[in-house]
Amino acid sequence: MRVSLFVPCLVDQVACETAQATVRILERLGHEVRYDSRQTCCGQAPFNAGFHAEARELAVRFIRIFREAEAVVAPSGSCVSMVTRHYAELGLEGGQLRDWENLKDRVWELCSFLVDKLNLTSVGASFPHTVSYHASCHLLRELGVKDQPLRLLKEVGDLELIKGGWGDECCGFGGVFSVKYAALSRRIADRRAGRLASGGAEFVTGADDSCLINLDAAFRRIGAVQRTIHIARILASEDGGRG
Amino acid sequence: MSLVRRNIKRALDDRKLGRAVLNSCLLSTEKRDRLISELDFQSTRAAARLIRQRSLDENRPLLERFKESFEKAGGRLHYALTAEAACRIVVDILLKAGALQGVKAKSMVTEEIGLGQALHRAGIDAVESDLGEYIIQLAGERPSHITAPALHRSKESIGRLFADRLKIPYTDDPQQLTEIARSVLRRRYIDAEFGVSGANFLVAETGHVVVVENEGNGRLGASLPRIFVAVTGIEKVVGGLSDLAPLLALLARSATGQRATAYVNALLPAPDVSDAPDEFHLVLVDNGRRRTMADPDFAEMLLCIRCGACLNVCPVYRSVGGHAYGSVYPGPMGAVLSNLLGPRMMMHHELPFLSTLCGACKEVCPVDMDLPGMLLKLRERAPKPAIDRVAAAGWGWAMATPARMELAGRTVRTIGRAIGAMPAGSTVKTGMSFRGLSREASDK
Amino acid sequence: MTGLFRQRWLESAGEYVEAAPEGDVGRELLAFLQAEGIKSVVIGGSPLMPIVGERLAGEVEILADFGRAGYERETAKLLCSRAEAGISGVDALISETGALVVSSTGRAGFMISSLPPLHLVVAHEAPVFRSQEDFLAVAPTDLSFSFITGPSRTADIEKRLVLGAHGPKRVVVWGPEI
Repeated sequence: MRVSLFVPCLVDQVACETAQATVRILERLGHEVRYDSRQTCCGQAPFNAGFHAEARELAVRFIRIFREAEAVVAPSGSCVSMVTRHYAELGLEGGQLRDWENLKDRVWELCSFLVDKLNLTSVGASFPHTVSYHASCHLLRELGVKDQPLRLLKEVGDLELIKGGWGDECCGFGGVFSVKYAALSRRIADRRAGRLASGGAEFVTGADDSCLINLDAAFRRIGAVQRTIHIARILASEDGGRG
Repeated sequence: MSLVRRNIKRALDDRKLGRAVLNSCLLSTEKRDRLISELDFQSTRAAARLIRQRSLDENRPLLERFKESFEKAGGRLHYALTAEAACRIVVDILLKAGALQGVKAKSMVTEEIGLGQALHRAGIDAVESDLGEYIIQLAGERPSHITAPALHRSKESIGRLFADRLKIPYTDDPQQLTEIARSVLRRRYIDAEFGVSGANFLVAETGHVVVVENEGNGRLGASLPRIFVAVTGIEKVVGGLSDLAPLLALLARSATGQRATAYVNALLPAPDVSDAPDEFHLVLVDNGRRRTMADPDFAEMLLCIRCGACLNVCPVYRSVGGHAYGSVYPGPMGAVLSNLLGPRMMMHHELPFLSTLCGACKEVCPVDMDLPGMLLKLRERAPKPAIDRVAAAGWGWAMATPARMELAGRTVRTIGRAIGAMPAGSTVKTGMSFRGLSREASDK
Repeated sequence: MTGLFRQRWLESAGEYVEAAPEGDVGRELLAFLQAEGIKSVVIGGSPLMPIVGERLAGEVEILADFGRAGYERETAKLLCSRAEAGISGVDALISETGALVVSSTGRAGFMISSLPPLHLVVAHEAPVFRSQEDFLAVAPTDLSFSFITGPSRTADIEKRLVLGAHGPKRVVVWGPEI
């Protein structure tokens, strides 16, 4: 399959290993990965801040760039949810709306793509560490991707999955929320990090770098030894190293 | 600093408050989850939503029908367009009947319209009888949760409050504190000339006013005093008694983690009955509801049955409690509803931003309201501070071309490294973006 | 269905006594009152109550028997609040929620089930419904009624459950044999 990679702006600019790992996984599985460097941002940030006009511009750009793609895969639940769900609220019209309607079912979050589209749970990875999984909110509640990441992790060689704390509480990031209410966001993150750390795993993984970066900072603040790692880097890993 | 920001800072600084709120929310959520799992939640809430949707779609005819049944039974119906009008109606009823002292049961709509203050100004003495509300009234506070108004207070602080206000020896034993409140309030009930209460549902076909409660104060207030005034929103009307079944099953489980509340009272005016009031009034409050019903973006909010489950699961509410919101209705439902009620929209336009949009509220909502969706729509409608407008325009500019995005990203990385704020294992090593790396690779 | 009622009723901190099949429930109530040291009661107006009243007459102080006489509101509430126990019938039982259905029929049904600290409920001949839904389909359209599930309760102080907030602290049901 020809897979068009969408690298969310945050992944592109500050977590590029996640994107590289995504490429490695897909290529290892024998797919052709295309990267169109005209891509920028899905528009989630202005959309969540209440600026629909700015978000619409970026949505139109996204649709134009990806409309011919056979499949679009992104290592992020929240950006995919923005594209597949929230673009509906931007007042797209005419050809743009039609293009989006044609495109949206071909846009996949990585874990869901592997499990639901390719029917794979084992991607030939090995990662000899203890790992807890943090379900990012938009992946879990907007896309309904709940078990897929766990099924993938269970098939990773030498990986021990540890239930970290309980519940699926938010990490407190929330994009613009973490800027507007930084102290409150940190409080929520510290609480969530504390619960995840109580499981005692070496790594906490998830499918959204925004949440993981937020949690990583929280682990440092609360003095926990855990580190975060995007699930793509675990799934890409063959040498047991860190990505 | 805005009021909400000051409230949040105060709440975050108060570690005791934080623990009390979090523990209460976790306990409530755990109990709720256990009992909800007995139901087929998705189909029950779909059924409940349909019933509530009809309350909105056929609101006028249902209210007409209710009025007919309720008045036929001997009740007196009043309609209030605004909060002020609603208060005036209640005050007039009580003054006309010469009923100057009475008891009030817990009701969010009376908080919404400020009835307590209005009665006080009119020289009418109304004691709150729900234990949590009684505590709040003694302390001169406002409820911090829609079903557990005093959850922000520790038993020690309630013990000190009782000792101070009631001139009794200090105790922090919940059992003893409850007994004390019971005996003080029991005397008030015997002497009460009027009872005031909210109502959870109105039944159009029969005229029943349904009051759901656990303490027994609701039914005391509706049976002992000669005057009874129920106050509720116009959206509470449902078709027939059978419509109550899924709503009650969900409300008890979602609100308090019970299969059924201790009391569900379906009250009908019965002027000739010795344990029913001589005068049974119902005040229907609009206060922005009719306007909201006509707004396709937000009518859904009026499906709400005030269970409070969305507060209990909200990471923000769990961290700061209800007072931080600075509105009668806190939490996710409050952040939406507070902007729809009252004389105009967006009276609390900061609240929609006070959410991580995690969606936990939608997941537990017994009528499946899209609270995050409404928060997003309110964010769009909210007046934006200049700094936000600049940031959004800046984002739009930076993301309009890959080159600008790379420039912005490089700046962020440089600053991030300089202040040591870059995430572990991220591009810190190379200082490169993915696009930068892929360009290098293709250049080779 | 009665078994489920009892299970749910007990889970809600209600008490359940199996009424003896051919025994007269008045005698059982009297034995209970004497064992509890209760000296004053008010009695509701449902059909079984006159027999109960006869049994109790002379043994405990009957402050008011709403089946025999009507009372003004003020008198009714004073008598009900002075009584150590209220004795009443019940319109129906609901299994799934473990609820009693008590209606206000002009015979102080609400006051008897609200004011005394102990509420004794004669329910062995009451119809049993599976669910709230089943009852609501045939519920009285011209009366006030309550579903009562256990004693009055509150958890407003640190979520600690305390029974007897405003209503009775104990509710004892004389129900069918199981």
